[in-house]
Amino acid sequence: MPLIEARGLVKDFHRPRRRTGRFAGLRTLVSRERETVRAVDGVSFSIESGELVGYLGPNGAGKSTTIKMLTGILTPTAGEVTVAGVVPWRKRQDNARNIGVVFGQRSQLWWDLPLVESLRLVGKLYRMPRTRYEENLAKFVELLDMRPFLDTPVRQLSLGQRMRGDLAAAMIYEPAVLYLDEPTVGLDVIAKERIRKFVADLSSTSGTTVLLTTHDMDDVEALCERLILIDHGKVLYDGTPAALKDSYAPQRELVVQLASPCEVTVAGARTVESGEGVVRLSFDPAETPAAALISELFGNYPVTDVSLQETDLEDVIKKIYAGRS
Amino acid sequence: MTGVRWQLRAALILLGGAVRGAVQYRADIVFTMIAGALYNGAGFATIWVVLDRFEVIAGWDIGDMALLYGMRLVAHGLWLVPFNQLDWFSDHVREGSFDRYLVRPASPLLQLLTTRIQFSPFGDLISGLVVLGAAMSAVDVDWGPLTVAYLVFALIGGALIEGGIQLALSSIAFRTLKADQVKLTVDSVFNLFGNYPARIFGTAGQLVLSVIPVVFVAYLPASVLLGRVDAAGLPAVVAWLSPLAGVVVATASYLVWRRMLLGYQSSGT
Amino acid sequence: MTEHLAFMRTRISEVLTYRFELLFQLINPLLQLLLLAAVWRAVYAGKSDVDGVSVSTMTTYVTLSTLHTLLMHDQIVHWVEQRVRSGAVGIDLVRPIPLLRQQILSQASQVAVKVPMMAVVFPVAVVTTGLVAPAAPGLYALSTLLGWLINCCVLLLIAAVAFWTLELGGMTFLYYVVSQFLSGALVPLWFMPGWLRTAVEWLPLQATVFTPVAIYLGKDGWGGIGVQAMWLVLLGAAVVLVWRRALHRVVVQGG
Repeated sequence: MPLIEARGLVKDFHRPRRRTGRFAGLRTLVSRERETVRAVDGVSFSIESGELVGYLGPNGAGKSTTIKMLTGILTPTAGEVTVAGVVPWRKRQDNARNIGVVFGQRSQLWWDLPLVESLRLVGKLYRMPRTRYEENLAKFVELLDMRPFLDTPVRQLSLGQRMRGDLAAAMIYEPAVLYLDEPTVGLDVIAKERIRKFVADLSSTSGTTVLLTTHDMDDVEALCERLILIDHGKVLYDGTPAALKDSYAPQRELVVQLASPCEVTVAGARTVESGEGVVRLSFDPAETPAAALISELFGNYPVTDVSLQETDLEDVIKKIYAGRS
Repeated sequence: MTGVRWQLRAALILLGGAVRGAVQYRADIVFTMIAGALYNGAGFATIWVVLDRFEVIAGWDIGDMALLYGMRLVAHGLWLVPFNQLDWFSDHVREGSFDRYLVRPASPLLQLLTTRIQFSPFGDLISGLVVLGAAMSAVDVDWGPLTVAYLVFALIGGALIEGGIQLALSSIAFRTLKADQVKLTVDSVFNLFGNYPARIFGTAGQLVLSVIPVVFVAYLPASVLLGRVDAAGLPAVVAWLSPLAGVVVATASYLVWRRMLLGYQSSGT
Repeated sequence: MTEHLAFMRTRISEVLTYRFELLFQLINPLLQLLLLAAVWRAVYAGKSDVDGVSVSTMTTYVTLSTLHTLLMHDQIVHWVEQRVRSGAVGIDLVRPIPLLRQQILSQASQVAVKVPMMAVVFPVAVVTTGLVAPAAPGLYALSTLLGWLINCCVLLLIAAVAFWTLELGGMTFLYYVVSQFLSGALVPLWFMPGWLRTAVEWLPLQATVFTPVAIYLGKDGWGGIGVQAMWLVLLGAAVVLVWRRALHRVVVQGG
């Protein structure tokens, strides 16, 4: 049985219809009329124990709303959801013991307390045996390099430090599932790298199931073996990143440096861009093998260097969304 | 794991955190307690100054008024000490920070109430006890086990009424994101009109104050204790049973809260 | 002059964004009005006159003192505190209008919003409590203006504390509680016990609410105006001195 299962999840939000014109504010206040916005529209997927899944989509696609239904924060309008056999919104407190949650924008820690005190409170709330708690704390302090700021009040931590503290607080009671909502937003390169490494380790050594939403495709490239893409509240794609690239962007690119500027025309490749001694060629590796293309270039043109470009996930996803709207 | 015993333990754990957080603002603690006490002092000073010149108001002398004022204020303090964090509730809903209470293994309401420790309500409670203590020796009541027990039940009942009403009003914010102004207005009605014999507000006034139900907090039980059952136009037995009103109001309010919680929209970002 | 008007226009629109909150703020004084009117009617208990004060004089007193208190309640202290704490007061300093004058204009802007709102309360107040005719309308208007200015000075003195402490915390709240009593908004001075009345008469707050209302009722006259003028001169001088030092602090320490 899958660990996380969503079937036909729907979430509608209601907000009062805004009036315009004279006394608009007062009429909005008095009016009972409401408008309905469907944020999630029939989302289904199942995630097995130990998977590390990227849940992607543009702003307003319904990513956070889905995560909030999986965590029990929101009650679904329709559809079913179970996490480790528990219906989250019905049994919030039972569900809470099975999951860890990190929201990048918002800390779950106690603002006025030193970080270590926050972690201790979390340990007690999740009824950790003392020795087990001490072991995990020591491990996380090591892995996340938290010793320098362990006794600092949370409100004084930098964003990167706070995020590490939040990760520790979400994982110290060893939940089976970890939800990460934009965990690297606003962090510098080194801090991002550290968090990615921690999540990768967690997934491989503890077998924690991770569901990650992010706008940073580097997070996805580094971590995810599976992607779920949503837009306008519907699932667009569910599969591996490689298969996504293959099906949406079969073309690859070859950058060719030339000793002197000249026209390049090769069978099976299309010139995308041609500038001062540099030509970019696009080709389909299924029809034209890269090796054949390169040897033909070297045979006919004054080539000094060639480089094969990896397909950029970000470009692929941009292309998909551009095609939809 | 979600039973009452666990909730109490969780409350103690969270309170421990709140206390440690609050100790950092020690100077503020004393100041806010004094401010709370002075605020209530000013309210009673008005009654005292008026009665210094006029002696009685609708047949209630300064001792009777002090009993009423003290009972109302103790009831107010009794609900405000544990429930003061409701003041920030609609902020939590509006900014979406209520989310954190829904992903931890303890009751969300209990987590909200143990977020921080506020000290001004202790000022209300202490000044209420002082006024009530002074009034108890001034009024013509035979304080035996029965009357004292009735007083205690009345105080708890009054606290449950005020707390219940404020909880139910707060839960409106799950839908509307805002309830502060309505809550403040209702709180003002309790704070202003709960301290006076309801008779002075005429028939219409008494009716409104019975429905809200301000008169049940202190006025009806105080009149029972003073032996002048005056049920604001209601049957006398209602006055006697007024402490029970708190249980009814609080239970109904908690059910409303639970129902409204399902509509939480987790706005913000 | 045009920059003064422009400044006031922006402040008024800022105040107006909170118009719903302001409307709700009217409810509290209205409730207080209903309560006090009922209390006075009850203590009079049918007597037409106590110490030469009739019931209708008392209910008029309640109505007017509530309106005056509403006029005095002002966001200026809170506003200055926020500007100082966020350091935005540095921006205010480079505006073409001197900082202190900005505060007075801010307060005038709030009056401009509040007066039409009070026009809503006024009929309700008159219907529920009744109102006698003014004894000296011109003198009353003058006294109201002086009372408002004295209140401005007191608020600016409190606000100035923020330049030193950055935070006023419960102090503003405490001031409003105490000022309600000392200004005569709850109980008129003539019904206070002798010693309390003497103490209150030596303080400036009674000049903000009690004096104009007493003049309206014909219980005070040019004497009250004289005391108000004296307080205005004293407090005005204090404001200028204190704010000069406060500004010095901002300039030297950068906020």
